[in-house]
Amino acid sequence: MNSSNQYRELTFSAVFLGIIQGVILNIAFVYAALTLGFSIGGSTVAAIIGYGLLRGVMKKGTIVENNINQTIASGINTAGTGVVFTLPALFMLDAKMRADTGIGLLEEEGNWLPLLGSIMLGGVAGSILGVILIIPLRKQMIALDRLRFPSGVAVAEILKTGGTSLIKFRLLLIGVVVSGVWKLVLATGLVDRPGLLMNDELNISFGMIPDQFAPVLYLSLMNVAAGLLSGKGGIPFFIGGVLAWWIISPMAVQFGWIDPTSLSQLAEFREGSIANGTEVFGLLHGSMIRPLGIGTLIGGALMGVVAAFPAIKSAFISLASAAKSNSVGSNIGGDELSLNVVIGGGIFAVAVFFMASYMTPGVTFGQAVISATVGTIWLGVAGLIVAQATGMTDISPMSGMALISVTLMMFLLNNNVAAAMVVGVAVCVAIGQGADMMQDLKTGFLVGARPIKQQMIQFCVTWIGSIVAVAVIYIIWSSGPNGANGFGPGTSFPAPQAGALMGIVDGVVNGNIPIDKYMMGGTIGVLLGAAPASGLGALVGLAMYLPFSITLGYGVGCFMNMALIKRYGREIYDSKLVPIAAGLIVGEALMGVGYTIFQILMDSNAQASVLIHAFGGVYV
Amino acid sequence: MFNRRLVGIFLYSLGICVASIGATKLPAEGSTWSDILYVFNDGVILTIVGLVIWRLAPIEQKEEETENKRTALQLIRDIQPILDDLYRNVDDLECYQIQEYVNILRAQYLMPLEQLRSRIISDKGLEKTAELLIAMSYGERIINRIHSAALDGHHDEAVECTEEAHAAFKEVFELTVRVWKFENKAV
Repeated sequence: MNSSNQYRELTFSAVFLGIIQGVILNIAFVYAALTLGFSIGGSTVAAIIGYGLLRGVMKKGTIVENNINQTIASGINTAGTGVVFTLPALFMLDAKMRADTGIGLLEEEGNWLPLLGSIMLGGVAGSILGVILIIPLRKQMIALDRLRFPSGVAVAEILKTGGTSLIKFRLLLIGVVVSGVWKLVLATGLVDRPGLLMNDELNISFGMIPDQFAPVLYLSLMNVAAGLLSGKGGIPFFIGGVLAWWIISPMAVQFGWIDPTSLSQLAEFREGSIANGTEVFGLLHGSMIRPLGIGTLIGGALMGVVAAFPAIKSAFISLASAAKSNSVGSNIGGDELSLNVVIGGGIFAVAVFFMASYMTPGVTFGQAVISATVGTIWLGVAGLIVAQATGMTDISPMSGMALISVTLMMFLLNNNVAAAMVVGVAVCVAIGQGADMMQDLKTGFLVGARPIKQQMIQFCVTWIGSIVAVAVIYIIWSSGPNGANGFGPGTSFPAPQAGALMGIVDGVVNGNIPIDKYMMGGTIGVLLGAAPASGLGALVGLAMYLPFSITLGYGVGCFMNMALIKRYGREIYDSKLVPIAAGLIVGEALMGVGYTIFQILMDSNAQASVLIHAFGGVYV
Repeated sequence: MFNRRLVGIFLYSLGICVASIGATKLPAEGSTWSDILYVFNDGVILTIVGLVIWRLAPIEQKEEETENKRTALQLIRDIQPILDDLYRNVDDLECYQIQEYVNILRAQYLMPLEQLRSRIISDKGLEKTAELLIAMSYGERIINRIHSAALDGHHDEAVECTEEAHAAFKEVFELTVRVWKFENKAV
């Protein structure tokens, strides 16, 4: 037996391994996201490698030590995700503007370094603010709301692997194998049949159900597993999908808001995404339901903050009183970073945010103040939305938040694209960081880690991710002809997310923003958030934001959970469902990463459309 | 007699559907709002009416919830002797025996308590119960740590955490009594 004073948690080995893994995963996922447009969290991979190295090779690692390792690795990796969704659009916009008008975003062509300095600072500020945001919210989301955080649960199962019962371990392994094999079969396109099954999506219209009902099922076992872990709590998400696609959509067709000639295309569908490829889906989802969903998501989350105010107040009081008492109550608060650190860190990060804005060409002192102030407030709201969405469904609506951030900032900063993008990077990094940190804290809760140690180390190393990602993106851009255009349409890195964001920026410049949808969606979100049912607004909004194929698969998991618990009792959840679902999540994540790296190595010109579903689609 | 809660939920859901449909239509070129904005407004009004009825309805169900309230109280009361027992004997237990204790605590007390969490909030309000629920969650996390330490074979850490969890659930019990304004002997 080991002695207590040697119970390893925050150790040099864990920190070192976490940083190395985080940097490697960051580079790999930035590279992959530029190619495919999707990225995933690295917690699972880091936990497995940590298990092998800390426990297997070093023979002295503990469960909570590995939790620190995966917290660091995924934190550094996730910061890269926030940067890669936004920054490439800036490079591509400059090139486009220069090609169209001869004048780009930069005064001197190719002189990116001053602006990249601002972007890096913005990313660092976002990383710190993302961690700070989560400290007072941990108690609300994990202790009070008891959000599921399916990936966090899966990682906890990985961390406990080997020490847990043999039956659970076997179930976990079965889940990994089944999900991994299934993912490989789908990703290689072996079972693809035009019009029936393509890009992990199954057409379930049977030639009878009209397109407007979105009869498509996303065949991701990770998605089903997330529902399996959420159970009854995830049903409002499914109901949101039903509202969007079985009520609103058919009504829109019935009232003639959609061109009837665009219907019934599913049967002939031959390429791309079944759920998003047809005209009816494009118009209904892209122009109507999705923007409405973004508004609902924001309104619902804001109302959620109001409803949870007593809990947030209690969390702050708990943090503030931590140092003042020696009772057990002090332990409760003392397990987290103190309020002084939170406030001090917050002020420092906002100051860095201000500097990042002020250093951006064309930004006045007043605009920098507005940018840092409004950016921080919005970042808090967006972080809360994404953390809630991740907690309830495992899906992070990052691109939607990036869209709102850039739109808002372009409006406030007189259409200064570069300055808006600095804020966009900070917001995306912060919300990604917040959601990831919350997943890691959930994992920590399940394995009994001390949150203060996770928060402290995340605080210290989180900035690394933004800097690495900015550097990698710049290097790839500079690898193109004449030191530019290294990614974008027509290259081996099509950067589809950046292309979409570029289109949005163009839309904002031309005054084409769906204000009506955001406002009315926001009102609906507030009304949903006011209901005596936790998280209703955010869940329904998220369901509208996503294609129904994902919501449907997730709903299948929820109903399976409820049926199994009803049949076999509550005990089956902990003993069987959690290890199986964790295995399904881990298996698909590992196979998705492995297959993507294989594809990139084998064919650098691989078409993004063919691979777009190779990832689990955690960040959308 | 009709069930006010169901009526409230029905009107609320209908209002959300109507408002969503009213919000979906795209505005004509050059306009900010579509020509069916009134449908959205009607839906919002219907939703608010339904929400008010729904929100007011639980007051009629106080008696029905008393049973659940007692169950939560009983669980918090009944976990104490198990933790007392673990606390007294933990020094002499092997790591696998500590794990078994924790498995029982989780299955028989912590999981049922988690399921009753929303009822506790709806019964007493988040303002009064936030401190209790945070303390309960803290105790649960420390119990999880006992399990991890035992899985890792760190007996001393498991012993130290047992002491911590024992003290935490003592506080949970005190907070519970305070929240429900019951004397210890009455619970």
